[in-house]
Amino acid sequence: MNRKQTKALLVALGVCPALAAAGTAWSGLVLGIAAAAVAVLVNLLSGLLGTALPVQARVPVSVTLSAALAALAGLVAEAFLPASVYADVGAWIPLLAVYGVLLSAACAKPDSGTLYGTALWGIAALTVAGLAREFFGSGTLFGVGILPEGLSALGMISGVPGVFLILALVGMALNALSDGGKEEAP
Amino acid sequence: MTEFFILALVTALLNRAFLRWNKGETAADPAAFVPYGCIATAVLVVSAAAGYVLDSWILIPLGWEFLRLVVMVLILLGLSLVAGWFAREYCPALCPRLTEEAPWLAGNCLILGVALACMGSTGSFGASVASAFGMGVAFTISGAALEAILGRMDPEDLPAAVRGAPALFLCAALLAMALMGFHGLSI
Repeated sequence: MNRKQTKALLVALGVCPALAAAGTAWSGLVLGIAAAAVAVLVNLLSGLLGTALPVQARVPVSVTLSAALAALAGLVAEAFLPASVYADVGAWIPLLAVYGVLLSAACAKPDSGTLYGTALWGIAALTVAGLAREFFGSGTLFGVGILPEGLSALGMISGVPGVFLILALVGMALNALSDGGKEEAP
Repeated sequence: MTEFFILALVTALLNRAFLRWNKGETAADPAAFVPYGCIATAVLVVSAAAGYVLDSWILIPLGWEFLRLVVMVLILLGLSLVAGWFAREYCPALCPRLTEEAPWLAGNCLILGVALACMGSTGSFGASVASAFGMGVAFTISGAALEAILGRMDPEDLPAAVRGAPALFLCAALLAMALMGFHGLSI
């Protein structure tokens, strides 16, 4: 994974609360797959329509496509996911409309890597974040108890600040994995 | 539900910070956030009101609730274009960056989340508009706070791996902790 690809992924994760609902490993995996599917389909359909549309219409069409695909993802999730997983992620799936457009736009820049690679890294990042939050927040992994009860009461990690702390750790790991974190200031 | 709104709020702030960061701008002026916050509040209130009315009068009677998201995104696209035009015509000197930033209000997950919550709400029209206005005020205050935090941060003091996006996320975590303090924080 190169620096530009890392940046595109972190921008997409940061501007969309996909990670927010990734409080468990299952919800992270489900949201990652839904987000990647929406982003890839938006990119494919926008590319197919792109040449036929005037420049001014491309962004509105991409956003509308993304909203329609996110709504479809919500209906599929409601129909096929177990009720407990849907209860965690259902409210957030419509907001993937934003993720699809932004990940496509971030990957449209030169040298930013392929959208497909970035989408796969997105699934991995959300799943790892869900694993970490589930482990430290409730002491389980994929619903299986790992730690004895009472040792894992880290409310901060399973709450809102934990979302951003975990995302910061994921970002640091990605920075270190790419090329040593030579990045400009925020 | 409180957690949902705090997450949406902080993520919306990150949204703007990332957009500016991508353009090479560093945030440093809390006062400069106020005009953007006012425009965002106006878009929030109008989109929440429009969403509530459309949902109650058209989508629910026709059984088209599955179209909520698409309808709301189209409303937000229109409103963000109007906000950009308004900024360009009436306050170009007050907020020169607003013309570029207003169209991105359509990609603001706080506005989308609040509008969708108002569409599915069982509360009254007045309650939906009031909650949207309150979220707009919270967005403006929190945005100014985040700008102040980022403005005090010197990237040269940070380890290389923390620079860039991770530093933004750490600031967001601090802000989220402060906001969570309003309704109690379990450690």
